Amino acid sequence: MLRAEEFRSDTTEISGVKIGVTSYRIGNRYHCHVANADPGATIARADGDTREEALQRALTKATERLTGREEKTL
Amino acid sequence: MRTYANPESLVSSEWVDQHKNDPNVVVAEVDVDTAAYDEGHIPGAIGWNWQTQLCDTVRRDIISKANLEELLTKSGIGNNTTIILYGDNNNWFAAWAFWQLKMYGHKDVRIMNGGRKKWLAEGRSLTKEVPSPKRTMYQVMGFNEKYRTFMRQVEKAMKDKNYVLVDVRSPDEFTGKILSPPGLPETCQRGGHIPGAKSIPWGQACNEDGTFKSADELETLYTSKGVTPDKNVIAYCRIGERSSHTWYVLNNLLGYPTVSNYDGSWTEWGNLVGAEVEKGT
Repeated sequence: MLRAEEFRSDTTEISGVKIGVTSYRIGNRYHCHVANADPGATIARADGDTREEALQRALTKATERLTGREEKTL
Repeated sequence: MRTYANPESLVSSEWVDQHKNDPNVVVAEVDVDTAAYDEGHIPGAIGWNWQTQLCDTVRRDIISKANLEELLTKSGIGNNTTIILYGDNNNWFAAWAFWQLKMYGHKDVRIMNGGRKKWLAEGRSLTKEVPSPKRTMYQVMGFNEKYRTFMRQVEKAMKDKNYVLVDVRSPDEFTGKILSPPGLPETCQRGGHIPGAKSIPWGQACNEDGTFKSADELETLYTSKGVTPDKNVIAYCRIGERSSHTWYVLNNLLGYPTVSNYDGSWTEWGNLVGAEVEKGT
């Protein structure tokens, strides 16, 4: 049976924007979710083999989105 | 110490763990983050996507009667089923689903206190298996118009002392400093708020673990700003979802007699030509 383990929830800032960062492991994958602190809408999510990998991927995506450097798909 | 006015509309994660396999109970996850369900969800829970399944995808509107009947039918929900809603971020979009189900008159719908965050944090069981419910024949039996407010009604209400408008957006959205929260696409032409509205951000109704604050704390939160049960309360936000959460709190947990959700909210009002706008606190 799966369950979330090593659950962590923190707040930080990207380019002056307060964000909530949640990470945990389900099975053998680490998941990371980045949301704006208010109202808590998803900015980015990613997974990885380690918590650090999941965090880095999610924070990179979040930074791109919040700073307008996100790749546009036409 | 006060208790919630309608405690039956709220269940604990422990209750859901014990009753998730009951034949008359259907658990549905509704997240802001529509990818969260696929990551792992409560065993047996179905997933509803608020962007495609809980609205009209052509015109701006709530889900139609026919589409709701089909959604509930294929979700294995009958008219007498107990629906348990839960989701991420303080049950934000679970409340959106709750509001619509109550408008369409479903009798027994409840929210799991603390939502997805609490379930995960407690290390309760998850699955990636998507259930295949047996189809039912769901029939909407009525429509509670009183739970919804439209723009023309708001224009009248803002001049009527028997009404109070509650703006549940963040303080920066309320003052007009920003047009929408960082990273979100739905915006408007003008920032500010509807004249006379009281600012009570929706998240203030919740604790850090995602559960709702006590009845006493909630009563203080709203009455201290003049949002009292003798008034007709209209909640609004940006696109109508955060305000459905406040609607749930006022209607179900505090039992205010007349509460409605102006789901057109700021993306309607802030784009209207000639609409009165107030800026600042």
